[in-house]
Amino acid sequence: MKNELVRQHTQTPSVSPESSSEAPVQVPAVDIVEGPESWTLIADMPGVDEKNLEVTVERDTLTLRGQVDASQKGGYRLDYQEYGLGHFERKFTLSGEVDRQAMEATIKHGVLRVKLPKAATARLRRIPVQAE
Amino acid sequence: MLLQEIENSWDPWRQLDQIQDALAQTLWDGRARSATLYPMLNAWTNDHEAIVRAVVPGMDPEKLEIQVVGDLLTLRGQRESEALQENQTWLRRERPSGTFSRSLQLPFHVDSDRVSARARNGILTITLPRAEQEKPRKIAVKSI
Repeated sequence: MKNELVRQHTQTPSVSPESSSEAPVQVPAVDIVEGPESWTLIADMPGVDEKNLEVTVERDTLTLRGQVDASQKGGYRLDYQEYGLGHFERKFTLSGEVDRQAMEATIKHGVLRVKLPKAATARLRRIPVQAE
Repeated sequence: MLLQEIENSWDPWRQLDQIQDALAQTLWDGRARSATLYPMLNAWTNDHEAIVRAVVPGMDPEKLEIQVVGDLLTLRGQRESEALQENQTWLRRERPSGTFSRSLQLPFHVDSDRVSARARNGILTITLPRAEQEKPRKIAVKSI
């Protein structure tokens, strides 16, 4: 599959021309998995490690923000560009069923995992039915 | 006259159209790319070598296959999707998974014995030195 050539011009995908001065914001792709005791949010944030990552909760808004080293390589020309070099940012609204005190976040190989434990009220409880 | 000026400088419908166009372009661009191009690549070059970076978050670098033939770099691999347990369900699924194969033609032939690669934070960096016989040579001009 030979689908492109290294070209002498650069292009910044998914960015409108207006945002040329500042690096554009990238929206990370996210998976969300629901389990019986928690939700897990998994976000692709390549180039981000624990030192330049920020996971914050303010009221009902969960914000993921990761800085990417966008410095240009000295002595090299950027000849071909598909991915942007801006920082990652995405916000989510949490429901009241998330136990905010017990949230945990880890990052490995540029993949962030945020565990959102369910508050006791949100967990499925089985009520035993007794035969009379 | 004044009305004319106002109309020219501020036409809300035209502005709305422009915003809509820009938005559509941004969204479609992003979607089309993420659907067809995996992994996304950037390439830097100078006279001596090329540096190609591939965005492969979450991938085990051992499972990436890098091949160089002449001036063609090929990347192959498989990205596993999250393995769910029996009592888990997907609520949202945007991260791509599956097998991939991508090739990139470089502006010069590469010395394939000296190609090196390292992965860090989900970004694979491949350094491809230019083949010695292809490097630009300076030709001394003699005065007669």
